[in-house]
Amino acid sequence: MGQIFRPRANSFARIALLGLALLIVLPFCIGFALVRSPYLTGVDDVPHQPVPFSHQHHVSGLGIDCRYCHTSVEHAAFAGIPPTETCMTCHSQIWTDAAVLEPVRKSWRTGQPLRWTRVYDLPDFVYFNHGIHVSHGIGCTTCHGPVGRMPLTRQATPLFMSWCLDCHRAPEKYVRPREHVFDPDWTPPQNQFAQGRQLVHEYQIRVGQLIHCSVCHR
Amino acid sequence: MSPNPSLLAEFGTAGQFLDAIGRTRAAGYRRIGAYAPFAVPGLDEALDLPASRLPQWMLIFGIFGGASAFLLQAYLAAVDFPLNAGGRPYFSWPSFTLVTFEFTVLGAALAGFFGMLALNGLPRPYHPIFDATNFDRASQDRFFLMIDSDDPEFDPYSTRRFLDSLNPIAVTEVNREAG
Repeated sequence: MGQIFRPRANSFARIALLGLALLIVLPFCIGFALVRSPYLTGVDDVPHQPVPFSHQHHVSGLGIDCRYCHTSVEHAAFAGIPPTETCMTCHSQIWTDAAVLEPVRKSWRTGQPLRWTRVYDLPDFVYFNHGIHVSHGIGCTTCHGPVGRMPLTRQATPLFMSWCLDCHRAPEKYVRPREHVFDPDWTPPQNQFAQGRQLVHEYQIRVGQLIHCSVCHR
Repeated sequence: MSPNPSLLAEFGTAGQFLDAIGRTRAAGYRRIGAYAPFAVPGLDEALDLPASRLPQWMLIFGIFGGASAFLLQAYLAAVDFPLNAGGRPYFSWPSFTLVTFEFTVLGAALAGFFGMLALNGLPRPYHPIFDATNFDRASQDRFFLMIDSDDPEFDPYSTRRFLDSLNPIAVTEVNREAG
């Protein structure tokens, strides 16, 4: 009957076996890489906004405190986006004929709120609470990045659950004194760990209970 | 210059085949190939093959699979993310045993399958012996005994005469594998 296959079929068979192993492993590798890539996490995405609002200008340039606009951040679960009225406290008087601000004035005239695009969008099964973080010494820039240097707001962190848990397991890595929570230029000191442990104790952060399901997924 | 072709003797029954192997070994040949359509009982003893290393590999990979499954569960449940699930202790080793068992079986089975292929040198769709006359019946109803031409006892004429003396159906030549 003789040979059905030619000699090089041996090489093909071995390569095919190797390729089969790769074919099984590769989708997992691609999947793991893909979900961590900015393409899917949205890190550094700059979504389109109705008005090109610049945190850099308002925070670093003018020195407006975070709470001037995001008023509920210390007390409520939702930090809130300021209403048109907040914009118009100044912009009814300055840059009154600026074209970029026309949507704000239109909103003021018609009473229709501006349709801002959410940059940090958690799934609705995660019940994030801003107030508890701010009151326990977690500063704005730890999660939102250097907002004071963002001409357009972008997402600075991936919002992975493992990213949340990283801090909930060891908050001493990130916690800062309460008086610096709204400091846009705060950087961790050399003795962050020692100071952080001290603050965790002082603010009575209950480390052991922070990774329970009910903390976020209520 | 190409080496001498090896010689292949064809037999009709397993009894003749086993008998021929015994006599070939008694005649001093050591590089013998045996090809049969089924696992002939007593063939390993007749060829005096060394014990397969496959059981060792299966044992090693079975232990590796089981140990890694147990350690993974212990790490996840007691170290990485200790959760109070049903009031059980974090290191609830009795509940880890099931997965540990299954991964022991999986590790040993994968090692057995792929180790068998590796030790056999399979898959190998092309082999020079497939060129031999009638060799396709080696997987149907004929038994083949090959004496490799690089056996120290091998001689093109006397070995052929010896194989003829075993009363085979036919003696044919097999070109040795190039390279």
